[in-house]
This record gives sequence, C-alpha cells and structure tokens, in this order.
Amino acid sequence: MVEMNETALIMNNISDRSLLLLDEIGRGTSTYDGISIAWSIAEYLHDNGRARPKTLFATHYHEMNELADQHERIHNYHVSTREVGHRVIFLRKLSPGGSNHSFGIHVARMAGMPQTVVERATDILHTLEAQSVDGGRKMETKTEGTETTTAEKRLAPTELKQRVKNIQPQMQLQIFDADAYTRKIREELLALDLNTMTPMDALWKLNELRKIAEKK
Amino acid sequence: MARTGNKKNTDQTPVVTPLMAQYNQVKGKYPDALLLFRVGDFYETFGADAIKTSTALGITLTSRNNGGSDIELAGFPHHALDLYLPRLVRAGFRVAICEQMEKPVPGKVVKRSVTEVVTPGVTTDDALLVHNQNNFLATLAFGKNDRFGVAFLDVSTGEFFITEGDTVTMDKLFQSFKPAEVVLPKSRIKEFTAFFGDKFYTFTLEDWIFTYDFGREKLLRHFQTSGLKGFGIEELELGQAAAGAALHYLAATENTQLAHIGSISRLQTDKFVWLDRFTIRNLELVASNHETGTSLLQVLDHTISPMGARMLKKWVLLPLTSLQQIQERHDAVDFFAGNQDFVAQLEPHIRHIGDLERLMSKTAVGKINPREVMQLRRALMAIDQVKKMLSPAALGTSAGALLRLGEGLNPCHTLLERIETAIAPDPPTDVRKGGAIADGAYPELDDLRHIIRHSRDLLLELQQRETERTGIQSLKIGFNNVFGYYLEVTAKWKDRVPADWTRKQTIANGERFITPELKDLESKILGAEEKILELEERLFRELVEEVGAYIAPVQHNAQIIARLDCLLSLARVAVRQHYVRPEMDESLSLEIKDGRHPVIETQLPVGETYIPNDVYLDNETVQIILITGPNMSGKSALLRQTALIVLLAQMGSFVPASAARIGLIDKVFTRVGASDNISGGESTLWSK
Repeated sequence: MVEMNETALIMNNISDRSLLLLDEIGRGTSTYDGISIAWSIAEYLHDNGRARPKTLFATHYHEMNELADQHERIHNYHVSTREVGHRVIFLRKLSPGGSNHSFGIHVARMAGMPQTVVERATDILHTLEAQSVDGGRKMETKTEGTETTTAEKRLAPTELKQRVKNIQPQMQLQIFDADAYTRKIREELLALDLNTMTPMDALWKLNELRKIAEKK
Repeated sequence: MARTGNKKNTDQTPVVTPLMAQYNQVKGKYPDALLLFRVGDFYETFGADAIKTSTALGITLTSRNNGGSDIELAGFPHHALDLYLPRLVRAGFRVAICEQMEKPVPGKVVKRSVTEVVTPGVTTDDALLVHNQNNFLATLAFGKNDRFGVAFLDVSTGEFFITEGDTVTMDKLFQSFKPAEVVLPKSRIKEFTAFFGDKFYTFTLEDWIFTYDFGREKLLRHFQTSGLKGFGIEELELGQAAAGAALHYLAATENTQLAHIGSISRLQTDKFVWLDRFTIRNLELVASNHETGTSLLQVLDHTISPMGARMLKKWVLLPLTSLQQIQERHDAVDFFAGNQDFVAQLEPHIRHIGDLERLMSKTAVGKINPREVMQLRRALMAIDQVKKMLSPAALGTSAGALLRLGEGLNPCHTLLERIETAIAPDPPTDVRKGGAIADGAYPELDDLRHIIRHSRDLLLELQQRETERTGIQSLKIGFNNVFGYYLEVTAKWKDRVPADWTRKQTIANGERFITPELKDLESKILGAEEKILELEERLFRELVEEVGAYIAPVQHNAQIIARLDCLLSLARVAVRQHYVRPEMDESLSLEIKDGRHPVIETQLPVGETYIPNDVYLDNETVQIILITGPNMSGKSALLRQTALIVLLAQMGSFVPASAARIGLIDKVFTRVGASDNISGGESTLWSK
C-alpha cells in the first residue's frame, strides 16, 4: 500500500520535463493486481492530458506489451537473451519489440537453488507450456541460439487455474513418503524405556532404526 | 543532583562542600548535557553523569565521600579531553565543558563556567568532523497545512541556508543533507518521528523559539542588517523562524563567536532538478544501499581538497536546471579535459590549500593554532598562484567561466605579509609552548628573547664594563636567593667602589654591591620567560583577530577553489572513463547513443565490457518505453543508466556514452517494486 501512495504522489507532480523510472511496479501484490496497477499507471502517464513525462517502464509482465498497440506513444522494447542448451546468456541489448519468456528458472539455477527444485520447476513449466500449445495459442518455440523477439499471448486467469490443476503431484507424494518413515522412527524412539535399557539393547535398537531408514 | 540512598537523619541538613554547591549550580543550567567539570588537572563527572561517562569511556567509577553523601565520580586528566570528547559525543551525549576561569587561590573556590556545549550537530572539533563531509545542524519550524521551514547550518564551515516546503520536500532534504542533529519544537517531536522516522539525532526547544518574530529579530541582530531582502529570504517566514532557532541554539550551546556565519541563503529548490528520495536512494547517488556497493559520488569524486569533496556531494544531489550554468560547467570540464599539462600545473597548488573553510571557522571561534595560521599562509600563496594561472594573460580571453573564477580569487596580500612577518617559520601547534611569534616582528618580544638567549653574555658585558670603569680587577658577579645578582669586591679594592653602587652585604674578605643596571637586568632575566609566554599569547590573539577581518574574502576563495576542484574532478573522470560532452538544449527530447551505467562499468570483472545501449525519448512519438525481459537481463540497469546520464549532464559532468543530446529535465521520479543491489550486480532473485 505504501507503494501505491507514493506512486500517487508522482502522478500529482509530473511535468513535460519530468523523467520517470518505473521498475517492476506492482510487484509484491498478486500477479493480476500487479498487472492491473502497472497497466493503469502506464495509461495514466499516456492519457492524463496534463503532462507527458518521459518514462522508462520495466516489467516482467509480458501482458503489458499489448499497451503499445492501443497507445501511440508507448513503445515496446525488450532486453535480448540467448538460450544455449539449459543455460541463458543475457545479451543486455535493448531491442524493439516485446519478449515472451521469463527465465526465472534459469536464474534460480544460477543462484544455486537445489537441483531437484530446479528440475521439478522445469517439469511444471513444460506442462503449462504444452497445454498452451494444445489450447491453440500461437507460440514460437525457440531453437538453440536464436534471440527471442516475438511477443507471446499469455494465459487468461481461468485457463491458468485449470492448468495448475493438471500438474502431476509428484513432489507432494515424495514429501509424504519421506514423512511416513520419519514418523515410524519417531514412534520407535518414543516407545523406548531408557531406564531399563542396557547399552547392548541400545545398540540393537539403533541398528533397527537404521534399517528403517535404509528401506527408504 | 540525584542522590543515591536515603538518609535516615532527615532533620540534619546535608553538608555540601562549596565545590559541589558550585557544581550543582552549573549542572542546573545544563540539565540535558553531560557536564565535564574541571577540577585542577582533571575533568570530573558526578552522579548520573559519572555512571554514563564511565560506561561510555570504560573508565573507573569511584565515589567521593562528600560530607556523608556518597556520590559517584568519574574523571580523566585534562589532556585526555581530545581523546574522550569525541567518544562521548559519538556515543550520543551532549557534552558541556566547564572550565576554571581564574588561577586557583587557596581557601577560595575557583570561578568556573561552561565554555562550550558540544553536540553532534554543533562542533568544530576536528576529531568529530569528517573532512570531506558537512556536519549540518538542521532546525525545523512547523507551519500550517503541511508547510515547514528548515534551516541547515554547518558551524564548522559557516554554511547557512534555509528553505520552505511540505513533508515530501523536508524528507528529501533530510535524506540529501543527512543532518547530524535536528532541533525542533518540543510539542512536535511525535509528528516529526511519524513523518521522518527515528533515525535522526533530535533535540527539542521551547515552541516559542520557532516563531517568526523571534527568528527575524535574531537574524537581524546577527547579520546587523535592517532587513533580509539582501539575502533573498525576506518572504520566507517559516524559514526565518527556523534560522532564528538555529542561532538561538548556537547561543544556548555557548557558541557565541560566529563571525564566519556571515551570510544566509535560500535553497531555491526550483533551480535544481527535483529528485525524490527514492531516486536519490535507488540511483545510489551519494551512498550505496549495500556495504560492498559503489555510489555515483564515489565514481565521480577525484577531488583533492576537503572543500571540493564537500561541494561535489552537493553538486551530485543538486543537478542544475539552468542551461547557462550547466554549459559553463561543461566548458570548464572541456577545457581541463583537453589541457592536461595545465591541469598538472594547477593541481599541486590546490592540494596545498587544505581546508580553508574550516580554518576560517576556527579563526572565528578563536580556536585556530599557530601552525594552522601558517597553513592559511600557504593556502593564500597557493591561491595567488591559481589566480595567476586563471588570468587572461595565461588562459587567453576565450575561457570565460574560468576567467571569472580567477577574477573572484583574492590572495589577501596584506594578510599574507602580516602572517609572514608575525609567525615563526615552524611554529608549535600550541602557542603556550612558546616560539610561535617570529623574531623581528615585535621589538618588545625581541628584547625579551635577547635577554634569555644572552643573559650570560649581558652579565659578562656588565662585569667587564664596570671593571674597566672602576679598575677593580677582582670584580665578580654572583647570585643568591636573598637579593639576587650582585657585584663582589675583595677588601683590597674596596676604595675603588664608585658612589652609584649600593652596598648590600659585607663578607669575610670583601663586600657585595648592587647597581640599578644590574637590578634592571636581573628583573629582565627573571621575568623574561614568563613575559615572553604572556606576550606571545597576546600577540597571537591579536593576530587571530586581524585574520578574523578576512573571513569573508577567504571563505569566498574557499568556494571558488572548491568549484575548481569539482570541475577538475569531473574532467579527470571524463578522461579516465571516456565520457563525452553532452549537447544540452531546452527541447523536450532525450537522445543517448551507446549509453553506459557510470557505476556498473567501473565494477565489472577484468575482461568484461559493459554493453552500451541507445535510448530515445520525447513527448510526441516515444513518450513511454516499456521494457520487458527476464529478471537479471539488465532492465533495471538500463533504467538507471538513462537517469544517471541525464543527471550527470545536468550536474555539469560529461557522460558515459558515445553521444548524447539532452533536453533539460526538471524532475526525476523513481519507483521500484523491489529493491535490487544494482551496483553489486545482484538482482532481487539473487539476494533472496
């Protein structure tokens, strides 16, 4: 909410000579809120009829690209990237046109997130993307070494919900399984009467617990 | 005075020693300050102050039995003040220093009074000041309908300016100038914390001190004027209220010698690019948001004088909106960047100048020492050289802005000569050590020094003269504690003693005499040492007063040197980082070719180069550029480099690009949905 108040302050003070930097406005709210806020701010800056401040608007909401079609002084640019195998090279070059791909997962890999998480994220992304093609939406598949320049039409909210339901709950099962063994070990431990156990008993019990763990 | 423990004999009046009575009286006047009470060679603190002091300094807490009351006591030797005072102030205490005002006489309590109250915002102590930073006291007057008046005062440099505005303006100014202390009306402390946070060191005064009538009266009396039009602040009523409160606060902290605060100005916010506080922070203009990060100021600051460093920070925070002023700076940077030989000659002179502003403030408060006066002399000599280098004879007539700077310099020849003759070539820092005043400057002092250096010779001379006059071959000069120097004559020569000698003593084999000349010489020798010290102190004080008459022209010099230093610094960066001169106009468009981020490009690993980008914006065709792209791809850097290039240009700097044409910008606003450590090369995802 702080962000919104402060953005309102800009709106009241802009002039034709002002320079605005808006970087990922609306972040921190839910996706749809975020896009709505960013969208309406961009529209206001374009259409307020009072001042036309020069604005650089960075966003990872590709949906925003459609603004350019409807507003003559809004232009789409993107920062080009190149995908080589599983890795992404950031070319850091500003080019005209929108972009269609978020590389959050690659960034996660670079940031050292655990391999299993990255792999699972890639699975889920593929599921969602495949459905996108099934759903008849046009999407340019990238081949190795090509720059991404075309804009992707993104999912409508209801569609996204539907697709999320289709994601196979692989991860959840694993967690549950792990939990079952943990619970078994815990039960065994709590059942012990330490006052009557001999050191030898304790060693036997330890061996038993280890076997439970090994089954996993 | 808070007393520890309860007394049982309440009917018996507690016995308070005269010293403690005096202490209690002084402490009563400065209840908010930690009182350092000079007792002989020590500064003592008592009671609650003693507890605080011993904790803050790690010194022993003892107690003194004062007529039955055990009161805490902590003290340190007087020469440790330079060491401990900064530590107390940095620990957040206001420190009142109470000195002995007369020489101790047995059986009588020495007269004492507070000579100085040191607070974070009011200090001229070198140990508390950072040489390349201002130390501002801010005073804030509250008006109606979200209006404020604010005064910024740096007592260490004499800078004093005011402005008015709303909460947002004040917040921005506090962010920019980072006052070391904010003084505000007592009833407004809650509002202040709500608006501006609790990060500032605050102090409150009674509300009536922040009124227009009171403030205006204070200002008129301080500047000895009948109006304030000349300063351009006549109509700023809230500003005057704040400024008056600042002067009142200085008086309340015993800062009464304020000749160096010779002017007050209005910070005209419309003459500078409006940067909202998010811009200042997000563009990391003067401070990085991360420990390892680099600020724009750090990239730009190659200044070689403390005044230059302080001024550059203001240039970075206050980019200009006047085309003419911007172009003047560009002209000078252009000249320096293109004339490296000239720069190489000019720089050593500026290096020699040192911190003129703070020297002048020390002069005003009478704290300048002999060595610093010599530094002033070196500075004036260097200024003379700089003036010669910036003359039409040396530069030709085309370098307009630089010629004007040169014209403004005043080497104060009379003062220079005065210092040269009066101060010894290598004086001590402490005038009380002796030897600060040059030989040949004052006959009276020369005589005294002659006596000390040649006392033996003079006595011998006298002995010879008297021997020749009287023919007494056995004449000797001696000394005893009863009647000092005497002439001794053996019984054999008794008859030759002239009438003008006075007999003082008869001994076994002769007699002892004194003469008026001998007595005169004696008193000269015995008194000379003491007299020399007294005289030197007096002469030095007189000299400092004379220097005081030059505060205004020397401060003006300091300003010009600071400007030159900033321009040289910008030229240095322009050459090193391959910046280009931006073309400036009053159009509404903005065109940058191969723009780079001025900070990131200096932080890249060896072998990597910054990928430059073009940006074009105007009000008719490309008003809004929507940049999409994955995180980490450099969107934020692009946004910021564009703003930084515009701001650099309007500060008077060249810009990191292959070409740039910039229609003047009046305001920069920044909003970031998440905070990134941009100069450290990290994005939000990384830092999480």
